[in-house]
Amino acid sequence: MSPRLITARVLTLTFGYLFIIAAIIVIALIPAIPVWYPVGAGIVAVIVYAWAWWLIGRRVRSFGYLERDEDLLVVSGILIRRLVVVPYGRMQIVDLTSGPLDRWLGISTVQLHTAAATTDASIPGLLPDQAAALRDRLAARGEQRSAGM
Amino acid sequence: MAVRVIPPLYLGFLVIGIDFGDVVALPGFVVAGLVAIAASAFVAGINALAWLKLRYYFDDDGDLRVDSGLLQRQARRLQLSRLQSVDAVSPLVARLFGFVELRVEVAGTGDSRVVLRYLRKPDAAALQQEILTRHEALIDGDTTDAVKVPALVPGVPSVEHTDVLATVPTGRLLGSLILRTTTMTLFVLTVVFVTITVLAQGWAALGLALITGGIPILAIIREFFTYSNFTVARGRQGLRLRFGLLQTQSRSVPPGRVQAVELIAPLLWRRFNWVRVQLTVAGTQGEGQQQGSTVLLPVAPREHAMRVVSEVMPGFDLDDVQWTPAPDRARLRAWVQWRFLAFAVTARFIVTRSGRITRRIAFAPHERVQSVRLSEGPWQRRLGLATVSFDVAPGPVEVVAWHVDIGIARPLVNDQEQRMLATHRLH
Repeated sequence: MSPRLITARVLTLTFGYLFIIAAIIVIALIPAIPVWYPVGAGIVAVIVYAWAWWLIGRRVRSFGYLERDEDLLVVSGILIRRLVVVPYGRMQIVDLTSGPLDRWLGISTVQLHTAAATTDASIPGLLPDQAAALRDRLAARGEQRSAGM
Repeated sequence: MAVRVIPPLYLGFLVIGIDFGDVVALPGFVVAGLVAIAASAFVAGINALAWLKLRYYFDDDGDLRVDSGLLQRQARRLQLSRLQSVDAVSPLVARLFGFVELRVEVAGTGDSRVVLRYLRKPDAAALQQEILTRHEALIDGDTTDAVKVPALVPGVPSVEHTDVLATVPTGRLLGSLILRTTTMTLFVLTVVFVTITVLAQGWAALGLALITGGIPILAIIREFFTYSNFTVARGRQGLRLRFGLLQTQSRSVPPGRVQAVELIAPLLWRRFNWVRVQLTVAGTQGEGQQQGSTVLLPVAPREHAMRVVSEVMPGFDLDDVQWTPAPDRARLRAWVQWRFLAFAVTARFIVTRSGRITRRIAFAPHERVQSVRLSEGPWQRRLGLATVSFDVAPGPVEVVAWHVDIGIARPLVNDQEQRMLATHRLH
């Protein structure tokens, strides 16, 4: 996975944090509230932020996929580890998505859909060329082996 | 013909009626009643006109066309080659006058069905027959292997069921609904709350008792009305289900479209050896329920249930299944249900077992499994356990093997994948 995915997720996290910081500043400005309230909240926020940053790095690095002869393996997660096996013949749609932030950073996500809604196989943080190539390969293999339902 | 009036409208009439009561020197409620009757007549008139405008015919391409609507005309066109089901439903009022509602469903996404509201029974039967005949002619016409025609789903209402497989006696249905775990829990809670109320001589718990007592009663009534007179019969193209007290529904289950099956046995049912059978059927809109959800039998003795199940899943025999139970250490992760957790792999099916109070056995043929997932939570990893999920088409049935020994889980994922591929090549 591209390290840009870490950047994307950290940016999203930071953006969320702007609101929390704003809220803490507002609280600090109210004279009736003891000063250690916002200070304490600020310290907790900084610790959680650092921890989340570290977690994002690990989580992004945990993503992996393997194209085997007949199926695709996707692994992800650190706390809860997941492994998904999708035979090419069962793939119905291969999606390539990238949001505004992703586009700015130049990454995209490849997501597989089968007839089961619970199939959760997405590969985030791919470079656009790499992602497009993967999508085309998967789609081609899916078509070859398609047996529908 | 049934009259449909939107209830909130009446409320408006009531208010108007009471207001006018002062002007016309009649008691308010009389005016309100008169206005309501007039409104009902008006709506009935509109409905009647709309009904007279309902047209259906087969066009040159062999598609079924349905034109409806009074002011806003609606023209629907249904490709009979994609037919999924033709179901006849008779709501109470309509039934009194010998009318039926015909629901025609074709494969596709979104609003892929047309409801022909209120046809005379013979007309409905004739139309249904015509649709089925035309559909069959279409499938026979082009049997190239590229065409994947969904299996046909007839539900002829007026034809006698010659081959009834199972029925559900009213008493058993009612008993089973009362003996359900949620019902019993709520009733026990109600008793507790009422006792508290009496002992404390306060009213605090009575409100709660109304809720805990009321919900199960409503649920029982609703399900009782829905599943009364349940009949499972063998039709030409699969099983035919008919049920309903006030509103008779008929539904068809072509064996080829059943994705997964679940047998559910709540605690208090087991004394009677009862189970409920639930199916995930591809491409059906569950009536006001979950997508793809079909109750094959609301309650039946296990042997009867298995006989019916073998109709939709030929070759499945629960006695043949060699269970691999979850290891003892799973108790540390699932301390209630660990003893019942197990999975089994047969030549054609993947079977899983879970639950302690309400026991569930779920299974799906290998070729219906779309993907396999293995997941390990932190606590599971420490115990060397993993959960393996077999993803099937959306519906009520989940085939999940909980807390499998990691040494067994990994090969299970790999082998399952091999089996999925193997069954694939057969087609």
